[in-house]
Amino acid sequence: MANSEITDGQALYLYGISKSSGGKPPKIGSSGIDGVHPVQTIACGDFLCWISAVDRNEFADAINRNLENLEWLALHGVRHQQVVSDISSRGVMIPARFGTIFSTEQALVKDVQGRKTALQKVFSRISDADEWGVKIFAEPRAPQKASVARSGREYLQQKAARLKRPERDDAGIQEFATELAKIASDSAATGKVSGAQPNLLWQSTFLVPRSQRKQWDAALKDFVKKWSGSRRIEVNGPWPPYSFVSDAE
Amino acid sequence: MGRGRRILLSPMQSDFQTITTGGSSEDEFSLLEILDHVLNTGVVIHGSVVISLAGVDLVYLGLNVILTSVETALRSIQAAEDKRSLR
Repeated sequence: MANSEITDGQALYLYGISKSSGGKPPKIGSSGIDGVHPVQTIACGDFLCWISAVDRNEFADAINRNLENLEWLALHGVRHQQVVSDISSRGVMIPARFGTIFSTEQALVKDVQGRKTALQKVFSRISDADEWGVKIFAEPRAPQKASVARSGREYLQQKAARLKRPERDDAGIQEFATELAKIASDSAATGKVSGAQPNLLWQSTFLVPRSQRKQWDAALKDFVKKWSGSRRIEVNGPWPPYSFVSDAE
Repeated sequence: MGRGRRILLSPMQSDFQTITTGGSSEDEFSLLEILDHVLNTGVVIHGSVVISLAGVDLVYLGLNVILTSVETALRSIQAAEDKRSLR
């Protein structure tokens, strides 16, 4: 690493771990999660750790307060994703959990070297695969004639009726999930943040081998046709495999 | 991998592959999606520690801490909106 010295008041923010190719690591042009310090690498035996310096106070001492500030969380969540995504587009990387911070380089190296075997296993599983999010929404019914609420109570009743969650426990959705699971190499629960979106019937996250993309797309298309007019499918990706690396712990 | 895209599948678009590579900014991931995936773990390089850095080599934020914070923040926004719409 060009300049691994961290000064007092700083800490190292970890984005993830890739395999060392022996050569010069690819350069990441964008700045790190704080928008200031550059993304750098630290050699850890067979691995490369992707880090940037951050302010200790902001990311450690004051972190609880910052996390409750949705603006702070949004900005840093997006930057985290941009950096992880940039690095992942240049080679396989095991993404670290949002907010992983080390106080020294030595501590980081020691920790990573201690979990060599587990990391190797994860690399073989996530190589040549992407994470995809899949959501099913109920299509909004044809617009009804607006009914005027005659009282506050009636207004709330109407609002409750509109917000009522449609039936989730559906054989068709089960079939859809089974079809996707056959093609994907793994799946994980998701939606901790967006789970309350209106009309959302179901969602899940899948690890899809790139070699299976045609089958994956074809399966999605089948259900899009089948559910035309009643349900809408939304797919997002490709993501770095955030949801499929926890067994390197 | 780049920024990734949200893909809206519709039977009218017989080939949704075209959409996945489209460059319109509307196709960018939404904030909720980013937080969904970014906060859906990733490898924990140590146990759950937060607290003081004194004598601790590493600070890691427990996922539950984050999610609770997000929920709190979203709830207060929702409450403010509800209030406004009832006015």
